[in-house]
Amino acid sequence: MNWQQWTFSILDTCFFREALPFNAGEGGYTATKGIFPPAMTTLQGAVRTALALERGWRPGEVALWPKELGGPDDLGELELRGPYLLFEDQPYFPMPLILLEKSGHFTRLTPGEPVTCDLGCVRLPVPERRLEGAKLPEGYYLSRDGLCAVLDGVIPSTEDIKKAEELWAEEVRVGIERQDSTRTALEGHLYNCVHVRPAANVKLVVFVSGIPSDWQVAGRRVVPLGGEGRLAAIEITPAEPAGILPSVPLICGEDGKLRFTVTLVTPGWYGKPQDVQRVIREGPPGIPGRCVSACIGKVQQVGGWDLANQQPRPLMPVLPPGSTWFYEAGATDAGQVARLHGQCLGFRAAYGFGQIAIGRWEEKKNE
Amino acid sequence: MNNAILGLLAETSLHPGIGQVVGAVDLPVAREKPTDYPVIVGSSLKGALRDWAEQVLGVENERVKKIFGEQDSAGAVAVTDARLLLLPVRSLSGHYKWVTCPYLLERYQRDRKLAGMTADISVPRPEKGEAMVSQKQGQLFLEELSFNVVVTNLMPLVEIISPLIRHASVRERLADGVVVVNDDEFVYFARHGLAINARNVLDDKTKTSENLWYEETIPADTLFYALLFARFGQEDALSDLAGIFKARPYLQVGGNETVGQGWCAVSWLSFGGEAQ
Repeated sequence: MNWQQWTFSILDTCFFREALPFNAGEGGYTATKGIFPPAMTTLQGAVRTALALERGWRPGEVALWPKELGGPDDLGELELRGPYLLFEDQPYFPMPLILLEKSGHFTRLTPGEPVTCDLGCVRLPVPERRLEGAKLPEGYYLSRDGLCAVLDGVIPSTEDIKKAEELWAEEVRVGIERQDSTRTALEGHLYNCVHVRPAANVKLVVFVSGIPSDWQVAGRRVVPLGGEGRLAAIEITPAEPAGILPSVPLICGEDGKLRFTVTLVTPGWYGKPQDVQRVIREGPPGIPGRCVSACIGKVQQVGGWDLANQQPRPLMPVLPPGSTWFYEAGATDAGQVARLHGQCLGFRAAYGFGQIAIGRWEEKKNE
Repeated sequence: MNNAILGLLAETSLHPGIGQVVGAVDLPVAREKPTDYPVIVGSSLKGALRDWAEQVLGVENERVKKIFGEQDSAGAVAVTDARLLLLPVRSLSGHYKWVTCPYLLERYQRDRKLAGMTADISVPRPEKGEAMVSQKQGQLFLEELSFNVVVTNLMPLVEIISPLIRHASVRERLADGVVVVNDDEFVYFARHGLAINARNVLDDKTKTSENLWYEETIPADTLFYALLFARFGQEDALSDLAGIFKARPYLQVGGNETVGQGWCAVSWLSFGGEAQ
């Protein structure tokens, strides 16, 4: 399969609106925030639209849409991976939620003793060492080496960690609708939104395969991306997505059991809310063994714009990248587990949702 | 033509505001968050372009609707933020200088490449406390900071900046006026070198203040530029847009239009880099 790396450089700011409306006409001050990095639902549209335009398609010309690019709810022959964040041309990943942070110090979470709670009899995650006031590290990113360390069961070094504010900044924008007759702002048509301005050396990457070999694809172009027609430059180069993740760590069975973690690298899409709840408790589909504990972030909402039908897509719940499950399996499952590293599991796998990385954990011995 | 660069030389002071109070200034200008450099945001610039196009061609003109879009269809032209390139800074030792820094020059270089124009220059990189100029002179004072002068050949730089400036007379003094300082020192001028004006509303009868406020402005002769991109298959929209400046190459951007602010002289660069 021939893969291409599509690298998006935001030209100034971008605005990928969170799942809140602008509420035109209402009084009071509310700012609608943008999210970053955007979901694949947005980026896949940019990829497919760029390809379709090169094949002669124009907005509204349904008959000219290339069948190879699928439709509103399928990718056709395409397959995608990502999106990944690049900082100075190196990939950075959301920090796995099995770490707790306090003032730059970290500790790992590990399955604790069984307790009975509203989830039944479960092993809730507990910190390996006491770190007073430590919280889940929201907005932290890890280099490939940092992710490799976490998957290997250790704490990443400080130089492998970046905070979101080092990678992008939020910029408040005020917009008005001006009344032509008076040349003043129209009453009730003042709005606030929060754009995101990535640092100069921050880019987004999507890997694309399935583009027919006889299609001529321009190596560089500028496309509108997200809200307010903000722009991004795309650079296309041949590259395999396999190289973006660290390699799978060596996981050895102990006491006849194979203990490993499954961490989401991209948001996990598992269908309806009740299905998401099941995945939170039992883990993503297709993984051998038994889920013994989990560290799951707040559920996010993914929507997007349906260009073909000119309407917003319904919001769907997804589990955030960094969410991690602890598993126990039989020692003979080692090969199958290793092969899952880098796979996309769940709904919309072809879009790159639900990509997982396999790590290791060890049962704490009672002394 | 599927992309172009719009040069905007401020003829009057500009107030591209953010409509929010920040610190002691009631109405500051918009700034890029990571750099604190003044910026004219893309939606504001697009609105100004549309307004001018509607004045020239008419509100209901089909070309205007095609270029800028309607409620249910996106416009044919995408507009970036207008980026700062040269900032006039007061000099205690002579006439004002157009101050810039390696970061802004690098960005302009990248943007020219993106727009398909040549940009093969070596960006000057002064050390802290140094000011790179093209003609020998003594110690240079910019606002309250002093700089050691380093004479450098800035002509390649001047040649790629000049097309952004509409007036030949201004272009002629560019070589003598451009100063390149370190990125860290440029931030000081961008943050603290803009004018703060006090404005007041007086009671007609008592002549006492009813409303006093402070607003920040970007000085005249500041040079900005923006990139314009035509959507695929709608390249002729950029030619249509360029046409609105043929008779009168000026554009009003930002607030305070009725007190004379926001007027910019427009130059238009397309492939080849020539000014129209």
